[in-house]
Amino acid sequence: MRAKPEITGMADLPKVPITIGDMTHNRTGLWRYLMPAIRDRIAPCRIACPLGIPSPDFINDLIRRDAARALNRIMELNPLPGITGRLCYHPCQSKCLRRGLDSNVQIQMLERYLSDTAPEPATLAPKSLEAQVAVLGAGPLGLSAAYFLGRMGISVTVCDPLDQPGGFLVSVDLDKLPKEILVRETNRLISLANIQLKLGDDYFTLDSGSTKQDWRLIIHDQTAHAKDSGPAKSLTMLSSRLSLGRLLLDTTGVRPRDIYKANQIAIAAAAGRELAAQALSSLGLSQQHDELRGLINSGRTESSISPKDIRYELFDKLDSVCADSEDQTLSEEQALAEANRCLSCGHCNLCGRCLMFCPDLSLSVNQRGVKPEVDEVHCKGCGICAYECPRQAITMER
Amino acid sequence: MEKVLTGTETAAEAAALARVEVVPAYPITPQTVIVETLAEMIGRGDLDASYINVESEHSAMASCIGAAAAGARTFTATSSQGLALMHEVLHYAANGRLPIVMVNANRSLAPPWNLYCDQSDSLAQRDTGWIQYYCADCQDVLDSIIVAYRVAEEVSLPVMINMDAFYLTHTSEAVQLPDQEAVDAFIPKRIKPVLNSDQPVTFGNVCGADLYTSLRYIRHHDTNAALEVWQNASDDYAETFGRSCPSLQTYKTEDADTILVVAGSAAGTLRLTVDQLREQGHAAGVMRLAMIRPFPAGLIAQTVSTAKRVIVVERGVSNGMGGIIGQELKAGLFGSRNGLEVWSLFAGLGGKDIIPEEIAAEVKSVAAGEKTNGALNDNSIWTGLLS
Repeated sequence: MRAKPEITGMADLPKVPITIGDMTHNRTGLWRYLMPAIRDRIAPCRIACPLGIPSPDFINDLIRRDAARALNRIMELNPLPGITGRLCYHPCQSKCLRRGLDSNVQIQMLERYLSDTAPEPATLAPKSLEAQVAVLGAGPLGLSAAYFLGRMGISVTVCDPLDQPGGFLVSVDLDKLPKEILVRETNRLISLANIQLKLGDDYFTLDSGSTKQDWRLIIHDQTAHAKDSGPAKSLTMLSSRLSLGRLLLDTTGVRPRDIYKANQIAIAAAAGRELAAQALSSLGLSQQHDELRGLINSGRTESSISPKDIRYELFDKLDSVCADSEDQTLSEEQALAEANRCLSCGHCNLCGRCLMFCPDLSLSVNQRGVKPEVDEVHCKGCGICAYECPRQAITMER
Repeated sequence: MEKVLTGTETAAEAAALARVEVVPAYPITPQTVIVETLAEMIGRGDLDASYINVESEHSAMASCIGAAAAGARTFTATSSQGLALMHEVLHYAANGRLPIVMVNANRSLAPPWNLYCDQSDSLAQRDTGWIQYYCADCQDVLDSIIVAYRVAEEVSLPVMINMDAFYLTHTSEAVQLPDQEAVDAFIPKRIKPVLNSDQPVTFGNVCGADLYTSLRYIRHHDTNAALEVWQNASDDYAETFGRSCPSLQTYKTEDADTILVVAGSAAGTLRLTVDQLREQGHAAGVMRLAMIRPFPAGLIAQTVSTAKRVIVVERGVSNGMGGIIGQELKAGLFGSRNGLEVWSLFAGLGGKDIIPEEIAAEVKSVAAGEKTNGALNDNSIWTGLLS
């Protein structure tokens, strides 16, 4: 803050009446009783997503050409973006507020684009905790449970009679999900969470009981294979044997209806994530449990913003480019065009409108890509920024 | 180059020779041809300038202020009601120390509606802080506009060049147009932008009484000093172009008992009147007051030092006080020539033609002691009243 400029004589005066200092010495922030809070509000697409993915955030990363960060952000909550990006029934899109302007943003196509093209996220190096967990069944639910446990530093082994991870997805042929995508997605998940595998022959050596295992907890994914199929029966037998003297969690409590349907993939992943949280609790790892529970609950505790919060008159109509993609992964150009259609409901996307309208220059972006900061010494709390925000990312609070 | 041009065309030529960069304008009779001619020049590409069609004279001057603050050489023209509408922003331009040059065609104010010559419009703006010059003829229009840019940019004050409606605006005369190179050399652009995005400042910000008073003192001082700056610029102009725009012009005043005073184009008519009076044995002269602000009181005092009386041929009235230029003259001479008779002769309001014989008759009557203070008790003489 600069001092009030001293004027000692006529010679200090400018000929033209202009400011010769600035007004930073005037602490107008003392007049304030409400303060702008630039914090993300919840977009309807996030509320609708079974996994709670904050789509505006990853879309904004994509717009800023940071695909790696965008994919990382998705994979904090979703272990299988390339599969949900193809199979999910995308309830996010049906709640997209852009429908009030022209048509919804094709969020699923953007997720798929990132999964197929973004740089692989760096392998996480989990803290090696002593707790060891076996997941019986390598279906989407079991893999998801293993992924979230692995990321919390738990040593996890996934066991399945099939040679490949994926559970029932390995056994069925789906036009929308080529086998190489299933392999890529499961491999990525396994590598990111440092998951050990006992598949096929390795799995069957478990049956012999010849190896001692230090597992403290067994998770049995009862949805890994079609009911009454050979692999399903095998897993049930193994589960009853291994669970002797160990903690056991199965999927009875978290299994929603129709979980075998491929388009329910996100629900299965969410159920696996929930099971991972319960496992952490059962193991008495309260710090890890709270961390994962916080992740699951983020964006679930507030109501989402509604159409009346969006300043539709400030946006131009813009047709989606995805109709031309013929179910191919979008090109970079198409993905950016689609991403730019996102209204970023409730999420500051650094559009800068609040900076332009602040009458006291009390908002500034000090770090590239970081939301504006409020100058508390000078902000009078007039609320113009909150009114002018096209997407309700600013609220006036006490 | 010599061309036959009307006063309005001359004003446009002068602005073009000054290479003005921004022309925000709103049309009004009788100046419209000035801005129309400039619009054509800009439209044809002969003049590299921005022409801004604005919605009123107030906006025209507001745009001039913005353009000049951004460092552009700016020109506009108006008249009468248009000038009156600008009143607020005229102060802004002068207090903002912006070197805008504007031509005002002197026309009466309504009601009743009257398009003709009258100087009440610009004289009512005396206190806005503009330098005011009143032209004698079309050539003077051209010369004074060029001199005005030199002075405006040197003292950072706006200049109003006044020309009589129709007598100058719509009268064609032979006008000498100087070479562009010579004009460029005479008025190199010297505006420093006030507004500069690299060093942001607030223009016209708030300040308290102490700074306000000091700023007003500085402006008053600089406006007074502009008289000498104008004279020097006029002398320099004369050196290059052979013509000048003095703030005061005299004709046969050295030995005159009676000095006729006028601002504007009627000076020529009064010279003819004086020649007639001299033939009849009356020692008369003419003092053309070209500059009203800053007021050349010293020069006036010298000119009238031995005269018995001055008769101001008025083209504007300060209602409840008298002839405007007569009042200015009395104020300027107070203390130096207290015995001088000062008469206001209202012979040119609302476009009334000033006729030499009529004026001569009034002069002889005053000289013979036939005039009294009259019904108005303010040394005013009104000609052409209905009986």
